[in-house]
Parts: sequence; structure tokens; C-alpha cells
Amino acid sequence: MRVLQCPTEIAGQMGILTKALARAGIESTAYNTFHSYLGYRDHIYNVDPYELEAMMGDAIQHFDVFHFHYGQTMAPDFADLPEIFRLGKPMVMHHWGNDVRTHALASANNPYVYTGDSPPPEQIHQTLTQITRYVRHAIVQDHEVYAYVASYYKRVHVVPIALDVRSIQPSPPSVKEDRPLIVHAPTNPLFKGTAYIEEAIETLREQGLRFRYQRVENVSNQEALALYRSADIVVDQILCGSYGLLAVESMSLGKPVVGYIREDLVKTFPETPPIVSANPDQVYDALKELIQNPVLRVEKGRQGRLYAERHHAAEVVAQQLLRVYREISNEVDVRS
Amino acid sequence: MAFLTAVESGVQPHMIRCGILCSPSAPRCRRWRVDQLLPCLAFVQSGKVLDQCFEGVLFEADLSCRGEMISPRSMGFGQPPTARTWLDVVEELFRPEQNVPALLQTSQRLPAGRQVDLWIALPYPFENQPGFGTVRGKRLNFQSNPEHRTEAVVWWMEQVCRRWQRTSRRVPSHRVVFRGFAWTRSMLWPADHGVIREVAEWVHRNQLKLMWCYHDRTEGADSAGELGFDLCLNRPLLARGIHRIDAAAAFAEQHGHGVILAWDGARCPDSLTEVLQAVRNRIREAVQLLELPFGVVGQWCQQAEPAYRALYQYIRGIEAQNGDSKGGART
Repeated sequence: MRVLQCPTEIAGQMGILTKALARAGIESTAYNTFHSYLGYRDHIYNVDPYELEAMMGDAIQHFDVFHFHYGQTMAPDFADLPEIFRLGKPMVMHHWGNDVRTHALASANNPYVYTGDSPPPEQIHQTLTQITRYVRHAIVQDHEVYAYVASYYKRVHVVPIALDVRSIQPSPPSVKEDRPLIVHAPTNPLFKGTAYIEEAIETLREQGLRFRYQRVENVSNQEALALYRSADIVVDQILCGSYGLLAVESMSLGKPVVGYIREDLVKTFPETPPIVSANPDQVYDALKELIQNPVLRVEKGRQGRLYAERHHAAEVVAQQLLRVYREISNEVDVRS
Repeated sequence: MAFLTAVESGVQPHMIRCGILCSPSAPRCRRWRVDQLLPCLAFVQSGKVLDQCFEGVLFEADLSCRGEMISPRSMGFGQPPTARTWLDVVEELFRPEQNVPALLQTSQRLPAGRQVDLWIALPYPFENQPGFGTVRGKRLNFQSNPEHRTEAVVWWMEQVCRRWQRTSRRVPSHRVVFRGFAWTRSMLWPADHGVIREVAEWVHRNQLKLMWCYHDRTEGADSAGELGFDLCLNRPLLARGIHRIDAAAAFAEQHGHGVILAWDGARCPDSLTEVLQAVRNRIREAVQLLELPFGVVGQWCQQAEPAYRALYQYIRGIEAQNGDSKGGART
């Protein structure tokens, strides 16, 4: 089975999955046209949209399974989909959130959510309608994203964010640290709620609590990981209602993580994530407790590592992905 | 500004791309013999050479027969190559009776006074490759030592030049001019800028030229000359129809570039004759490279297809007597 993934590398997922699939004996190739300061290069080919479009004809012939990301395909107007469909090759669209998150739906369960980076709802609807003429299956990372696409697809699979957890040596916080380092990495400050986080930090500082704060941005993913290693507390995103790659990376390092997990979503995860849940109204209290309680920091970090190993380890996620590939391949066989 | 012209650039205006070894969509090995090259370089009727046709050839290896990636267009369709693979490409280029040696022989059959330009596409040094192999006693690792990528390309060019000297000397009456190398990765990936600059310096020191083939709308194409390219050729995506040509031609004209026409009957909605008719008056002056499926020109010649005459007339600037728009139809 030859798998093609493209065209947008989000949170290093195409590269991580490509590597994990290779370990499972599956030939997978990933092309990325979205180049950011995060500098993802491992196990992907960085190309531009014109190179990808020019390769389209060869790719359609060569690959057996097409795994698209972020509501995009090889061609800007989805011109590749009819041909892949005609050839009876299986396809799946992986949605990541900002590509499909409409404000109306998101805010129904969450007054804090920020959807300023999502396309207008009419555009999301049009895109999903176009894609689902040919693509019947979608993948999402959790049930926060599930809701936005469920009505469009025949089936939506939940496959968690993947990380090569095994390759990450845990670096738990020290119980002796009396001036803990809080790290926050706002790749998108409005989406992550950075202003609320930093407001809480300022208040805690004014109140004389002993801690350090580092905001990590504009560095490559590899450099960022090195910085997280020295953290005692990591703050992920506190508006969206679920967690992202930063939380998974930090849990893998054995760090306690603060982030907002929507109450109604908690039961949809395979087990309760050991993340200290805090929305903008709660972030001050959550940070204060972790700053003042080194034993809690260590315990949350320990739980996080175990959770990451069980649910986010790349080899675990790759097996879930392979089940999806098999299902869509079988369905195509039946159709043809 | 105007198109890059043959007079201005000192190269022949009409080149044909000759893909060698395998390609991502065709697993069979492509080798160019005299009988395949002759109908490209000359207008042949009933076995007789009547005139010159293409005046230049670009040889490019895409994918090795073991499935190792060589050209950028094979990116992601195979395994990473090694120094051994790159040496095999040199061997293949200069394989007796084929490719470059066949070109040397073919050139002897051209009408008197006519010459052919030879261009050779560079293999692409894939940056994620840790173990490229040993070159000049040094183990190259592109991933951890980005400068090794330049060393590998320069080493490869030296191998080609050495073989060219040796092979061309054996055919003293040939009429081939080795013009230089082509960088065929379209995107100007930042990590490639240094490689391109150093490759260009080496090429110029050796009195050769460096050509760049890119897809229309590629970022940075307007200032690509700063990297050291002598010729830049813009390729519209013909698989999306003839209408893509106009914008690409306008950009090329504005920036002093040439044009690439990449046509494949299995993928393009328009016939080659329609494409040629559409561009006949638009890019007549431009240096241009045609990319056609392997062996198709020889086949048209043999079967006296109207597309063959149309191609010849287009190259020589002869107005078609009775335009047959079906020539080179979709297959």
C-alpha cells in the first residue's frame, strides 16, 4: 500500500505519521506546501503548490491511498478528486479545526472560543460540500472538531494527534524547584488565549508569587521542544476547549499542562486527559495551585507521560490510521 | 523587457527534453538511440533528412530503474539515491550508442552547418538524506551537513564534464555543443539558494551555462537571475488547458525568460497542434523547451502523423498550409 499525504503540515503530523507508517511497513510520502517558521522537515517533502499540482498526474497513478489534510488537496480547486474517484482509489480528508470551525457551532458549547482564523461559514460549507462529492470519510483529532464535519461525511474517524513519544526522554519537573518556570508557546496568540494567560501571570507576579515565565515563539519546532524541556509548568490553549500538540509534547516530557478541556468533551476522550483544565476565568487559580504545589506538578507530569504513551504514541496512532485505510480501501473494493 | 531570445542568450532556441531511465508514471527504462533522436533533431520524411528540427536537447534522468529518486519530478516516488546512483546516471548518459553518444552520431546526419546544443539536468540533492555515500573519500550527509549537497553536485558535474571530453573526442566530426547544466527543481527552496549559487559559479568558471526550469507563478522567479541562472524557462501547466499559456508567456516576456511547453496527450485536454497554434505568434521569439512523452516524435514521424509536420513547421516558423487541429490528439 502506497499512501500519499498532502498538502499541509499541521503540528508535524504528516511527518510523524509517515515515519510511524514506515515502521509498520507502509510506504507513505508526504508533501507539504505550508512553510512556517516552525520549519518542519522530517519525513516530508517541502514543495510549493505549483510543484504539487504538476506532480498530480503521476501521483494519482502511483499512490493507492490518498490522505489529505486541512480541507485541501493537490489542486487548488479539488481538480484531482474526480480522477482519483473515477479510478476507485480510497481517499480520506483529515480536518484539524481552523479549517472547519464555524463560530455558530463552536460558541454553542463554548463562550471563550476564538474562530477569527477560520474561513467564513459559507466558505467552509462550500468547501465541505465540494470535497464530500468524492470523499466519504474524514479524520479528526477529537470530538471538538468532530462536530463541525459530522453531518457532511458518511463516517468521521477520531484519530488522536501523534507524537514519537518513545523518542522523547521524560524530563519531569523537580519537586525542589521553588521558582518554577512557566512556559507558553503561542503559535497563534488569539487562538490560544495568550492575553488571558499573561494577564493571570502578571497578577500572580504582582502578588509576589515566586516563578519565572517564558513565552516561546518564532523558533523552530526542534528548538521549542528543547525549551519545553526546562519548563516546570506548560500552558497550552485555554479558549478552544480541547488540547493540541504543545500539550502532547509537554505530557510526553512529563510536564504538568494547563489547558481548557470543555466539560462536555471530557467523556469523549478514551480516558480523562490529565490536563489541569482552565478557561480564562480559571487560569489564575490553576497556575497559582501549580506554582505553590510542587508535588502536584510532579504527579500531573507523571500522569501526562503515561497518557501520552497510551494514546498519542505514533505507533499506537499509526495502527488506528491503518484501520481507517483498510476500511476505506474495503469500501472502494465493494463499490467497484 | 522581452522574451529571452536565442541571439541574446547565445543558445539555440528550440530544445527538446529527453527523459532517460524511468519516470514516476512509466516504469520502463528510456534510452535514446539514433533512430529516436534523428526525427527530433531533423525533419525526416521517407527516411530522408530534409531539414533541421529541434536545435537542442536536455537529457534528464528522473528515477533509476531500481526506484531511486534522481530528478525533482521523482520527489517522493522512490527511495533516496546514493553517490553510486548518481554515478550510474553518468554511465547511462554516456552509454555507448545511446543518449549522449547517440546524439553525437545523430548530429553528423544534420544538414550542413547545423549544430545541436546539449544540456544535462542536474540530479537533485534531497536535503533529508543522511547517508549519500562516499565522494572523494568523504562520507556525505546532506541532513547534518547542508554544504555536502553542493559538494555532491559539483562532484557530479565534474564526472559529466570528464566523460563528455572523453566521449566527444571519439566522434571528431560531431556537431554538438555542450552548453551546460539545468537546475530543474522549480521551487526556490531557501536551503537550495546556496547550492545554486555555488553550482552557478562552478558552471561559469568552466565556461558553461546554468538553466533553470520552473513552473509558472513560482515565488522568486522574478529575481532568479540573482542566484546565477543564465536562462530561466517558465512552464505553464498545460494539463489545465491552453488558457494557462498566456499568463506564463506574459510573465516570461516581462522578465526576459523563455518558455516550456510540456504536453502529454494522456493528460492535456488539447492536442499538440492546438497548443502550437495557440502559441505560434505569442512566443515565437522565445527560447523554448518542449517536453513530450518518450518516443512520441519518432512514432509520429514513422506514421507520417500531421502532428510531426506541425511540430516541424512550428519550430522553423513556417505557416501551416492546411492546419489539422487533430494532430497529436489525446491518446
